[in-house]
Amino acid sequence: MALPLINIGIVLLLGTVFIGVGWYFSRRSGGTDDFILGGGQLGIALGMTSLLAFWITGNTMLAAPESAYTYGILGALGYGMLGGAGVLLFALLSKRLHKVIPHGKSVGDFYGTRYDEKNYYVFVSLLVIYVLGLIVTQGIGGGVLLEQIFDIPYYLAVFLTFGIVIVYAYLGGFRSVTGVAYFQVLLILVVALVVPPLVYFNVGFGPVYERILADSPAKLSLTAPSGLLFATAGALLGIGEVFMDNTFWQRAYAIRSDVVAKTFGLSGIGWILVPLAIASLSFVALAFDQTPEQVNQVAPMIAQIYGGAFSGWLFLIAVWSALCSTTAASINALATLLMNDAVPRVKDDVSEDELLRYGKYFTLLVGVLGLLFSLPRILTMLQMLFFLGVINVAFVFPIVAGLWWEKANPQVVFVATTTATIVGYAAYFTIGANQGIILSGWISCVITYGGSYLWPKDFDWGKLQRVGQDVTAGGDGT
Amino acid sequence: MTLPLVVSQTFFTGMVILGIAGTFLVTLIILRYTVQEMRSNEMW
Repeated sequence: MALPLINIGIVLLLGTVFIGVGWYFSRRSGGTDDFILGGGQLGIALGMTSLLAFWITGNTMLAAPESAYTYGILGALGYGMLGGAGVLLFALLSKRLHKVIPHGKSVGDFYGTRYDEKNYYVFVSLLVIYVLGLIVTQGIGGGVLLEQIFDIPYYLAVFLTFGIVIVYAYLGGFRSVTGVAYFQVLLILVVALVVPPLVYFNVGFGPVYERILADSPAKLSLTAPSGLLFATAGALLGIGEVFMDNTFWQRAYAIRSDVVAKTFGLSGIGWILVPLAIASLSFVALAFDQTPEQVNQVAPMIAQIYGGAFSGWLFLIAVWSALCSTTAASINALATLLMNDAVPRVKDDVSEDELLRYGKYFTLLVGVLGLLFSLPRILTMLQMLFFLGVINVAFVFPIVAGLWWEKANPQVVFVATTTATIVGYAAYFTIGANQGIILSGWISCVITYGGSYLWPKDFDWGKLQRVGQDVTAGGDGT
Repeated sequence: MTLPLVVSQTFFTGMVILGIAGTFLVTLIILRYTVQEMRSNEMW
């Protein structure tokens, strides 16, 4: 089969622009602080786009339509709430973070200091699994998209996607990733503003609604059991993902403390509403019986069929940019977590330059691992999100308790998170994905709060205050 | 079988429009703060 050289050229051109923008922003990148937090002085505009880049782009463009296609109207609403609820709640948490752990840089700084070593290692191990899983979903999404629509062979597509992302994430860390994300998010917002109205202008609201009502009314029900289960598990999962993922902690510290809560709040609104616009494309597929080859490709397919060739291309380029932005944010978040937390724990007297070098090595390592794990196509994006959700949800309650309640007991928290994860996955594989997530959340909540109430242990908040005042202190903070 | 709480066409249309209008609003907010923060040199 001949390679589609023009299509590969378009991807390379766009990738070169990303790398160029990344390089431009990396010029001001100096030490470790820049590589992790971009200097920690982000305003609302860049703060919002860096938050939106994580979700509204990669996940939303493919997984929101997938959930609406599978669960109907509750899928669209539930997906909006899935991440939106988490980001809105994180607005409260971000304010608290600046107060109790003012010099922190990562979720590891908090978790390792608030609880103990064994809790920290369980948390970081599961976090690494979760982030790698998330990166893989983006890689698979990018590969499948380029293969199906641009006719680029899957393996080459994955190499192209990761290659470009790794280069600009390596150049300037958080600075490059955030600078590129600004343009990527604006591109995606324009597409979300143009494509759905264009499609609905062509097909009309009335025919879409009436056809779904006639052929599959359950998709329009607000009480369909599967949809309700999805919405409940989705909200829990979203909160868990946001609270656990270092991407959000990193941004909570990267954004100026006087605007951090406002930035998270405004982004949360975007997280709820933008997916609704994109997910609405799935209703056209349901109405006109258009079945995609892979369910997460439903939105690009509808954009191409009902929005015209230009709309289809625009949508695809935007989706690919989106997948790149989420992949870059995740690679940087994991690489900087390892750099900030893991290195000082295993190596004494690490200099600033050495730490920065480790950050760059970890960027390469995480990126290459993501690439390799993406080569076999394991799960769709939504399936992977729900699979990893069991882990996310298990840590929500320990994080909240640890930030607000001095009596939260590390021993109890260890039992809570490990039990919730094990039982959650047992339920996931034997009963169902949604049930696994809900069970994991309940077990973690009951054991964390019930156990700490019965066996309280006092915590010295001063330990968190001292974290990060010495760059070599890492997550230990004692 | 009749399913309870099937949404009306108005609800359905309103939901789609809310998504598009919300996207527009978020875009405006980002652009507004971009201009404001660039002027006051508070963007980064």
